Amino acid sequence: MKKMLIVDDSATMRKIIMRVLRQAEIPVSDILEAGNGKEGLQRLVADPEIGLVLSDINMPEMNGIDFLKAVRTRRDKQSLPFVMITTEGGDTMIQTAMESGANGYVTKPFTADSIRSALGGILG
Amino acid sequence: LADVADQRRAPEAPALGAALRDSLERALEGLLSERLADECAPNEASSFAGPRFVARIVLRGEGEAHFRVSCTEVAVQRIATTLLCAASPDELAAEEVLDALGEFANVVAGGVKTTVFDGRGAWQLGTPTCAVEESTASEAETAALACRFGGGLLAVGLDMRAPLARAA
Repeated sequence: MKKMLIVDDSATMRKIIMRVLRQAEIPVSDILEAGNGKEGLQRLVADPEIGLVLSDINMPEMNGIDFLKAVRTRRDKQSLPFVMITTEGGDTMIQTAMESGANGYVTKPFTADSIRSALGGILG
Repeated sequence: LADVADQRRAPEAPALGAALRDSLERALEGLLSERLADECAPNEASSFAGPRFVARIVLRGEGEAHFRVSCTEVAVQRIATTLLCAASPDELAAEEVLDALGEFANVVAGGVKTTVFDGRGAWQLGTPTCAVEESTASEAETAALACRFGGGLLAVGLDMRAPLARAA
C-alpha cells in the first residue's frame, strides 16, 4: 500500500477526494494533504515514503503543472506516480499535463469509477 | 459605455448560456446528486431576500470574463452540507461553507472554460474569491441562469469583458 499526497487549494475538495478514494476502495496506507504546489513539494521532499500524488492544477503560489515539472526535475521522483484531478477538461490542458510527466488525468466532478479507472493501472 | 453594452449583447451569448446550463447541470449531478430544475426568471430572482453568498472567478486570455455563482443562505448551506457530508449547517464553520461554494463554482467555471473558451486562444482560470454580499442587485451579464435550489436561490452568470475569438 502506498502513502498518498493530495494537493488542492480547497479543503472541501481534499475531503471529497478522500471520501471518493474510500468509496473506490483504493488501497492507501496514509493520506497527506497540501494546499498548493509549493507546499506539496515541501511535503514530498520531507517524506520519501509518499508513493502517489493527486494534484489540482489551478492553485495559488504554485499551480499543479509547475508543481509536476518541479517534481520531475528531481532524480528520485521521475517515476513517482502523479495524477491530475482538475476542472480543466480541455485537450490542450490534458496534453500539457501529460507532456509535463503526469501519469493520469481526472476531470472534476468525478466518480469512484473514474478515480478507480485512473489509478487502477498505476497501483497495479 | 456603449461599447461595453454592445459586448454584453455579444452574439456568443446563446452559446454561453447553453454552456452555463450544461456545466451547472454537470456540477449539480456530479457533486451534489441533484438535478437542475425550477428555473427563475431574472426579475423573480431578485425577490429572494437576504444576503448573497458569492463566489467569483476571473478567466483571463484574449480579454477577461468574470464568472459568478450566487446563492441565498439556505442554498449555500445545502451545497456545503452535501459536499462535506455534514448532518446540519451548524456543524460547519463559515469558512468551510465559503470554501465549499468556491469549489462548486470552480467546477462550474471549469466546465464553461472547457466548453467555450478552450480552442479560442489561451485562457487561464483563476482561483475562486468568496464573500457574503448584502446587495441583491442583479448584475449586467452576457449570460445568466437562476434556479430555486434547496429552498433558496442559486444563480450563475458570466460577464464577458471582450468578445470571444472564433474557435480554432
